[in-house]
Amino acid sequence: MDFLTDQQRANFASFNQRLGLAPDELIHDTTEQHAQLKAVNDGPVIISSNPGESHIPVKIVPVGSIAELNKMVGLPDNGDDSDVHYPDPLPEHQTSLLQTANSRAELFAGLDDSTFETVKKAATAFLMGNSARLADHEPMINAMMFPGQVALATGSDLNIPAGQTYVIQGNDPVVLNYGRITVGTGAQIKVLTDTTLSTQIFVQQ
Amino acid sequence: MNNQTFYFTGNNYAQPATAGGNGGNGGPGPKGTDGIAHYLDYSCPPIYLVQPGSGGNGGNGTNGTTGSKGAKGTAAPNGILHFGDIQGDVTILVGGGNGQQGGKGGNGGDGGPGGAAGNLQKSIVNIFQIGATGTFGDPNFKAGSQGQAGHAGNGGDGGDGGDGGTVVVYYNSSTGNFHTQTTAGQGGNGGAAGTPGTGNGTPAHGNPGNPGRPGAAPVIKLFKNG
Repeated sequence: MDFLTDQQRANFASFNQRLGLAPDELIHDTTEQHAQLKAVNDGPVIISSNPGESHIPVKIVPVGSIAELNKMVGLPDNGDDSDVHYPDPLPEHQTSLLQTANSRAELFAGLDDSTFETVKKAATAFLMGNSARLADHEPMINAMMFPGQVALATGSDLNIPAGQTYVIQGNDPVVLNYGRITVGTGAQIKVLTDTTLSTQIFVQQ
Repeated sequence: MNNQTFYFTGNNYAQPATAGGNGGNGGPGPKGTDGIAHYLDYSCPPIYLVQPGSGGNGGNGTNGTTGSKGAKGTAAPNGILHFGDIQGDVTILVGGGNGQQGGKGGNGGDGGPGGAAGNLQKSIVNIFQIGATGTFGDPNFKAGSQGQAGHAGNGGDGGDGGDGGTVVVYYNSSTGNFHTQTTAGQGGNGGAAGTPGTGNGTPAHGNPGNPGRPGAAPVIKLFKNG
């Protein structure tokens, strides 16, 4: 990645390490990307957390807890959280299920519909806001949503030709780390699943 | 905005919610009992030994049921974007998916056909035509009426729009501008009412479902790294 400055290369390596990858690890290179895309017809190019449907190679990484995911992609705890919605504590009759349920299926069977929504919001706030404020929710988040996984894609260049659409999708989060992303005129990145993207240079033509 | 660089959204539903069940058609009315009559002559009124019965009314069609409520739209995903150094204008749109359209109301059932009137076994008993017999209809006894038509089912309510996600953007420098746009996921349309059944009476046409409510507004935050 000769087109990057020393500082940009260091930033790329730092983000890779945050994801648990080697500093210079590239899951695909530009050549491989082009080879993959030759197989794609006129439809959109898919980057998916489901490797079987992804046109761009992804690496699946297990994630054990919301705290671990926060270390990988979360925002700093001391950042601006003015728009973050911190949900109210769960009622005791819901949290007590963590001690009494013998399986995740049994836990889910005992949860109210509102608890699913609350825990989903709590998980989002954990990553987007001050995770310390979600300490009461953390055990339920982990019990309901973890262990999980994320799909990683890293490379030097991601070139999206003019008029092309890339779709980021799947049931799990997707994390991208590139040296440079170039989006051609009229091209679009459509995002359908939680996504974290890091690039040192971003070009919109 | 010629370019829409990023579009965070939930997928829309391809199909409306499940339609309501159609009402059942009424069963046919029972046939009237057969009768027996003697005539001195066909120009004379019959002498009923057993009067034929009129047909029974057909059964009523049952009502169509209400269509299912549409599901809530898919929430827009969350995004964290670290852009570094940007060249050009970047446009970011965020909006939840639209709610699912409500299911169509079920059609009302048709009223069952009325039963036929009983037949009349006729015998001529004058000296010239004695023994002449036949089976005929008797205009004094009629077929039953068709049953009542079933009411149409109401359309299901549309699902609420999907909630917006939160997209946070960090960048070091930019030669262009950011354009951001947030849209709430729109509520799904209500389902159409079903069709009333045919038959007697004045069956209700049913009402279309109510549209869903918009989802929560998305949030886009931009931060320039210090």
